[in-house]
Amino acid sequence: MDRELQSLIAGYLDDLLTAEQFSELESRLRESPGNRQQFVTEMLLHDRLRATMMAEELVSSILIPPATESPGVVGRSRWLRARRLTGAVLSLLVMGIAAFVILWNGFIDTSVSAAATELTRLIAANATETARTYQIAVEDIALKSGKKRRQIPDEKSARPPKPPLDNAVLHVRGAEQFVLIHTLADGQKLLTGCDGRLSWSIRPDGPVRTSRDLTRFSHDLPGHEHSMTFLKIDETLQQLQRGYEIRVLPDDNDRDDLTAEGADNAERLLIAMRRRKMPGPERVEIVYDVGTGEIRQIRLVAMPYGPDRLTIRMTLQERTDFGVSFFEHAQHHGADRTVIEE
Amino acid sequence: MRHWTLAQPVVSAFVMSVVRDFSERDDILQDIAIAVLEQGARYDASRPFLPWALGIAQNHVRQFLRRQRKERLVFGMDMQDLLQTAFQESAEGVAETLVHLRECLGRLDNHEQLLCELRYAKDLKPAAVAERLGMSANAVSKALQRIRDQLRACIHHKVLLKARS
Repeated sequence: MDRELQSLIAGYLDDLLTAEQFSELESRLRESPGNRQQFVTEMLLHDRLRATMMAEELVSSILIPPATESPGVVGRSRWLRARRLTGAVLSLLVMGIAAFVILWNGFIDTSVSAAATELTRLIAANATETARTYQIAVEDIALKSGKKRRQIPDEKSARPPKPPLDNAVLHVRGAEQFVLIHTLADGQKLLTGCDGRLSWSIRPDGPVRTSRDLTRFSHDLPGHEHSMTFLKIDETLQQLQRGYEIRVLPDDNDRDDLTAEGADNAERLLIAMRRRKMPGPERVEIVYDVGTGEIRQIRLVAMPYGPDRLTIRMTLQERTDFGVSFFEHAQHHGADRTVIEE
Repeated sequence: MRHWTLAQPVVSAFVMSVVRDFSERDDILQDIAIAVLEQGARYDASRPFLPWALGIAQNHVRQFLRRQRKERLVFGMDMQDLLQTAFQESAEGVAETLVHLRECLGRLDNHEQLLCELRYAKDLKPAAVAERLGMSANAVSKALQRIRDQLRACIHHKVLLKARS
């Protein structure tokens, strides 16, 4: 191995070469195929190192809750800690998470670009609008600063200023029709919705409010802040394609055809990590049917919701089409209620 | 699709050889993957896949460089062609040996793993790593070079062991 060339290549990778040194590297590469071979070898190692470390980072970011992190402390490798924690978790949960481990092993070797093509297929598979009902669960609420976290079961009284999303039910039909039913702390319901002509809000007390602005009462929809509401799934997936790093697990080199027979009920997890400076939830996880591309669960991690960052799970409950009238406000309140159009 | 999965690490490294910023590389690679999928019908299955995919990658890299002129030091087009040929001819064999990388990474000491984490998982340039660790950028770059040397030796050793067994 040519040490001098190696040093020039390292400087090139780290962007530390002067213009003179760069010219020297270029002429050394021009000199012989052997030198180019050395360069190619170094590029492959550098590139694979990045892919491997990013995969480890992603695993650790999921396995280690942010509350336990000490961002400023660099004395000990988080990568090492993640590996140790992974081992401990595996030894404790053994059979119960065996499937999960298999998924992750597959994930680590999953290529970024193969995942991108998988997302493209998923977009095509979800281009048709269908009626769906989701059960929403809030897993975690983090304050905007990200420094103080609280778990929902521990502090039920602490609620975001927006209506609570935990236990909410979301009915969706087409790109504009929805009914979002929040259950308030006292058990009463707060509904918002849109039938495609009017958007509306029904609070437990006061008048029913309607608006011809179809977005007027859609502010409480998960993902609304960055237009990632999953009402129109293919469009939201396209947003992920543009602004997120995509991974799919497991990667079995056998996803040539999403409609392949033999993939009945098999599920795959698509993970989208928000790119730097992009708006939206920090991470979006989508569990979908390998055979049909049907999305069964959506998890939005650190999703902006008012002043807070929520981690929520939307689980597909049914695909019954309740018809367009279900999405009209009159179907959800008594005839005696006052209706005000804004 | 299977062809692409196998060729992707080489294409990725080729893009990296010209566009060194990791996130920019990722963006270009995603565009290439989509282009490969969309243009799949044009691929002649009687010919090797990698040169075809590298050709698409080359076009995307050039488009990117035309749009982004911020790369301070960029290889000329003739050198990019030479590199594309070099990747085409020798990269697949090398890429296969890198399956041992994860195991070899586990043999690094804490400090070395930390350097790898900051450089490769956090996408920090040596100057930024240096600032966090109280080292000079050149010292960080040299240390990373030593780490890659170690990893290469470890991988080579494992390839030999496997060949003997």
